[in-house]
Amino acid sequence: MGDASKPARILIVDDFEIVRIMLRNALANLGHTDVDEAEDGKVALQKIQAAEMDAKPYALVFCDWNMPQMTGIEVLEAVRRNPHYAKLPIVMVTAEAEQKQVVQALRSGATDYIVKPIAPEILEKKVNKILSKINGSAA
Amino acid sequence: MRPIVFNDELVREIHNGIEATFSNMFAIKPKPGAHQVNDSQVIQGDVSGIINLVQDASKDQVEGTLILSFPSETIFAMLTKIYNRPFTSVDKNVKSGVGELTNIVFGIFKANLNRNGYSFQMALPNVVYGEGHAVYISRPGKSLTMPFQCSVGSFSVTLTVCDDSTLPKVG
Repeated sequence: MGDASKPARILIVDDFEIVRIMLRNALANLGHTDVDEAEDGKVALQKIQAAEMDAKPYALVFCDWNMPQMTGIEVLEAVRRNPHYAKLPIVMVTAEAEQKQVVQALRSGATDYIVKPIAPEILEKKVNKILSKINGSAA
Repeated sequence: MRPIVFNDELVREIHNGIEATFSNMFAIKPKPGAHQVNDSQVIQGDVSGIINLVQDASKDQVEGTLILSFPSETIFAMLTKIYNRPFTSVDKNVKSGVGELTNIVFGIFKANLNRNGYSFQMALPNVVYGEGHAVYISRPGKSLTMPFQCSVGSFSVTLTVCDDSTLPKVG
């Protein structure tokens, strides 16, 4: 098992600032303060690429599902098409708490999903699970 | 596909959606008051999030609406908890905050009811604002309004159902 308590670099993608702030605050409570934000899918893809080029890649991305211009699923698929980011953990954040959406997200390559409103204890569980796996495999 | 009829199940799911959303986002537990069913469909507030209820997407028709209406003071106090700054006017953060709140409440409402035979489709909220504005649904129907009281003020949730849901979706 890896170390989930190690601070991770995280990207939050959501068109609503209120969600970005709440998620940022919740992650800070878990000890993760190196957090970037993107207000839409295009900016997210640019930030993911820039982070990789700066040799400071994100350890985890939270991506909203319903966004204008580019949906969260389109962002997810665009990331997965690039072999450099094939293993980048992406958690889909959605108000769509239904089985068919979950199945679609996982089939499209999502690492996990979380339903709004985000419960802190569920966020902690999912973040720890993903980071444990990453840090464990990197060790 | 079940028709939308005002009953205890719908009332309970409105309450569940509000409780889950507000307790997680704002750490507050709104208390519901007695709901009222009216023949008219007029809803009043200062900032309102409105989402169309559509069950059969192929027919492109709206069967009703879910509306969250806030007095300015209530939504300002709620958002202050998140943004950690005072709000004195309905700015873009207030509008987007009400939109997202409506979206999240609808997501819970929709998921719970769809497990019981409804077929609500995904929809995006619209936000209207203006002190003491009224939302008037021009099609004949009924509305169920549920008032809530919490530590930062009051607000209401209204479910409207159109008697004639054969008209095309507008807006």
